[in-house]
This record gives sequence, C-alpha cells and structure tokens, in this order.
Amino acid sequence: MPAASLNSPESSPEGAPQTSLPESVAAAENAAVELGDLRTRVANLSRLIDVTVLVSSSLNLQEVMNRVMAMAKEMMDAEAASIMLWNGELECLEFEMTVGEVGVDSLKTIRIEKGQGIAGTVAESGEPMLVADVTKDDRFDSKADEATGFVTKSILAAPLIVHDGIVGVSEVLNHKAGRPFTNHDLELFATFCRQVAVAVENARLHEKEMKQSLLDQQMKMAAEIQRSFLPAELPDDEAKRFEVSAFTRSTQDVGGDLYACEVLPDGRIGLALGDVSGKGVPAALYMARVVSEFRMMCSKGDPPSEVLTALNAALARGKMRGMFVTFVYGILDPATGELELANAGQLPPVLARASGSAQWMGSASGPPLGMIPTTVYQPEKIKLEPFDTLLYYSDGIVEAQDTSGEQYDPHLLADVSEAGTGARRVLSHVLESVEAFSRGASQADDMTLVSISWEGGG
Amino acid sequence: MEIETEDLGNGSLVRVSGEVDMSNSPTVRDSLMNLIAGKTPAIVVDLGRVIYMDSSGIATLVEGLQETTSYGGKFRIAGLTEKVKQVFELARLTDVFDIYPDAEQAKEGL
Repeated sequence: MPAASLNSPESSPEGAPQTSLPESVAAAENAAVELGDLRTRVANLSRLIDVTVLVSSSLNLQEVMNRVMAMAKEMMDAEAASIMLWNGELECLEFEMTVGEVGVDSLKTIRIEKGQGIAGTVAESGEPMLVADVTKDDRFDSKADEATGFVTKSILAAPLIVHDGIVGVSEVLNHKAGRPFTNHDLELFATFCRQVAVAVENARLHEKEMKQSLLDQQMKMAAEIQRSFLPAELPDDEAKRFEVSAFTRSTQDVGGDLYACEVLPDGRIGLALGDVSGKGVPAALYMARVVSEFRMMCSKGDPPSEVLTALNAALARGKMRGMFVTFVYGILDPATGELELANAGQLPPVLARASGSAQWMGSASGPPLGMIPTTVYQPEKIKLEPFDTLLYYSDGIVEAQDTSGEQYDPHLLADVSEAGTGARRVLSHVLESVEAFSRGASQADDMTLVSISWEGGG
Repeated sequence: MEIETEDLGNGSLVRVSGEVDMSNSPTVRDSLMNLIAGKTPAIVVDLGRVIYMDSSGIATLVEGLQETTSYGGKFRIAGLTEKVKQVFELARLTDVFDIYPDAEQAKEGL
C-alpha cells in the first residue's frame, strides 16, 4: 500500500538530528511544512480509500456521481468539478454532473466529440491532462464557460477508464487558493478517477440490468394480461351435442394470435380466430382491442358477416399504422348442425367430414379487418353432418417449416382427413403432425388452432 | 431487403427487393412516409423482386395506402411475384390495393 512510504524515516519529524538554535528553527519550519504536506497527502490518500469504499457501497449512478464529484472538489481544493459520460450512440461526451457554482442544466445540451477541447483531448488520448493556465492553451474550448458564466483558469482532466475503454472524463476547475494546478495534483486526481471509473461503470451496468429486468417483468405481466383476453375455459356441452378445442402458442412473451368462443343468448356457439399483423407489444395491444370489441359485438347473436362488417368499421376508424387482423367467425347451432361463417382475409378453415375426407371451407369474402372502413362481408352457410369438424388455423401453422425450409401447408388437408372425428382429436392430430414436421427447425410465427365438432342433435 | 426511390416527375417509384419482414418493414415505412410527408401525388411500389412479405410488410403498405388516400394521392402496387400474389389473393388484399402487372403499366395514367 502506497501510504506506507509516507511514514518513512526521512520524512518523519521524529527522525530530525540535534542541531544549533537557528538551524533548529529552520529545521522546525521545514518540518512543519513537511508535516503539513504530509497531512494533506495522508488526507488525500484516505479520500482515495473512501472512493474505493464508495465503489462497492452504492449502485445508484446519480448518487455515485454526486458523491465522487463533491469529493473531487474538496480533495483537489477546487472551485468546481464535473463529470462527463461517453455516449456510445452519439459518439460524444455529455455533462452528467457538476458541483460548484455552476448547475449541470445549462451544460446538458453541450456535446463534446473526441479531440474537441480539453475533455475531448483526454477522451481521445486516454491520458490525464493538466492545463495550468487555460489562456495559454489553444485546445481550451470556452463553450461551457459561455453557457454557465463560469471563468475557467486552470484545469485538471482525467479519463474514466474501465477494461473495455473510456466511459467518461472528469474535470476539476480552478484551485481555490488562486494558484494553478500542479503535476502533483494531476497525479492524485488521475488516481482518484481510476476508482471513480469503476464506481460509475458498476452503477451504469446495474442500472442497465435493473431496466432490463423491469422490462422482462413487464413483458411477463403483459403476457398474463393478454392470456386473460383468451377464454379461460371452453364450453362443455352436457348433452354432448358439440365439442370445442383450442391451442395457441406465441413465439414471444406476447403474441398476435387470438381466438374466442362464446355461448350466444340462444344457445348457439360462436367461434372465432384472428391473426393480428406484426408481433410483440403493438400486436398484443391491438389483439386486446379486437377481442374486446368482438365480444361486445357478437353478444347479441348477430350473423357472422354482420359482426365482421361492424367490427371492421370500428377497427378501421383512427390511425393504427396500417395494423389489421385477419379474422374468421362462425356460429354453430348445436340443435341443427347449421353452421354460418364469415371470413375477413383469414386462410380458409378446413372442414373434416365424418366420412374421412377434408375440404377447404369459407374462404375470405373480404380483406382483413381494419383496412377499409366500408367493406361488407358475405356469409357462407353449410349444414354439418354428425361428427363433422371445422378447424381454424393461423398462418403460423401452415407456414411452419421443416429443417430444409419446406412449409407444412401442403400436408394440412391430408393430416386432417386421417385425424378421425371430434374437435379434440382433429386438433391434437394436426398439432402433433405440425410439430413432427417442424421438429428441429425454429418456429417463426405464433401458432393457433381452434376446432368445433357437431356430434349430432342430441 | 433493398429499397430505392425514383422520382417520376408526377410521382415516385419505390422499388423493393428481397424479403420484407418485421426486421426491415420499418425501413420501407420510412421511405413511404418520406414521400407521404411531401404529399407526393402518386406512389408506385414495385414489388417485382420481393420473394416474401409478412403481415408487418402488408401493414406498411396498408398504412401507405391509407395515408396517400387521405390527401387525395394515388397508391399503386406493381409486379407481385407468384408467392406474394398468392398471399394477396387468399387474404383478399386484391380488393384493397390498386395492383398492376408491372411498374411500367402502373406508371401509365398517373
């Protein structure tokens, strides 16, 4: 530890030899000066130790900077001190904190590039710098003085360096005694700044981590909230006249696929699937809006084509950055097997016949919802045979790729036709087939499957 | 994905090529919004070299169409490749956009 050298015999007053009186006075004076100097140096070193302690005592960036700047000003006996941090995106230094007569607010707009002024020169070279008299140094840039009204006379500037480069530059301005700063001051300040750099970097990393973990936490909450917009449970018919099944999986915490299943006032079953354009938070928010408006609009039991026409008009109002949702909505009457569908830009559902065949049904009668406010959607009706199943799927299903980049698309009809009967069986068979097909390849899109089967009039 | 804009005098031609997805549709949006900010009377988007477009890319085109229409401008799409055309047809986007076989034909009568 460097402090040990300060206690060496030659600089210790107790080590002074016996001499005559005048010599003794001179020696005593010298000793007093040396003692004073020694005290200052010990005090300074103990401040350095304080900074070292500070490195591990606080992880709040503002607090760390506040404390170290106050300490720098006091230790260097300076009129003012400042800290500038390196902004990697804008590639410049920005004032973060000042102590002394000037506030940092007036300096916030000042950006210093590498090589510009004293701080910029230090940021470029990575070496501390002493400017005893700024009037004699061309590199001095008076921009900050002009902004604050402060008159800089003498500067100590030192880089804040951590292992992977410069994180900032710190300066102290004007010695309070009116004298210029010295090389001795510079050495002390540079040592001090090495500790400050570690403290600042630790606090910065901590802040970044906190922000990230807050973001992660919020995304998890958003995902939970989004799940609450999907049916908590599907209707289960005691009379066994119909069966409903659903599956959804997002590639991100929050997704853009949605489905809904509503028991209408007259006992018919409404079933919908939608796929919102884009992904992530915007898609999730739009999805929540679509589900809310849909549930409100379908609650009276209006025909699917009318519900989609109204839902489209509502969604197309206002600027939504071109966002849209492909949407299919069908109503099954469990008493008769009558099924009525309307499709807005969604891929055509698959009808699995009890006889073991499968066919497309209800292709889009208009574009996705939210594009053009005046679109009118057309209905498509069919009478189901007992044990027929209708399957909705999002494009993440048909666009699922295998390891060679081929899409699942061409296999869907065949897989449905061999699935057997019943909403659950058809859905799980298709899901297993898609998963087997795309095993080992990464899933690019959200996957949703919804199915309903009519088991006869009961 | 690559994008370039050409001044047609009475409008602008935006040529897009490659794959348009979440990662680069904001770039397409920036190009379109630049033209829209200047109230360009006609925008032709040439998709002749686009081999894939996801829903975020389509949303960008929808926004371009909505914005252009709001000030009475024209918004045309040209040269859909087979795969993109299939998506447009299945989703009935052909009802929404003014679609031309190629950029040359789209430029006519602007």
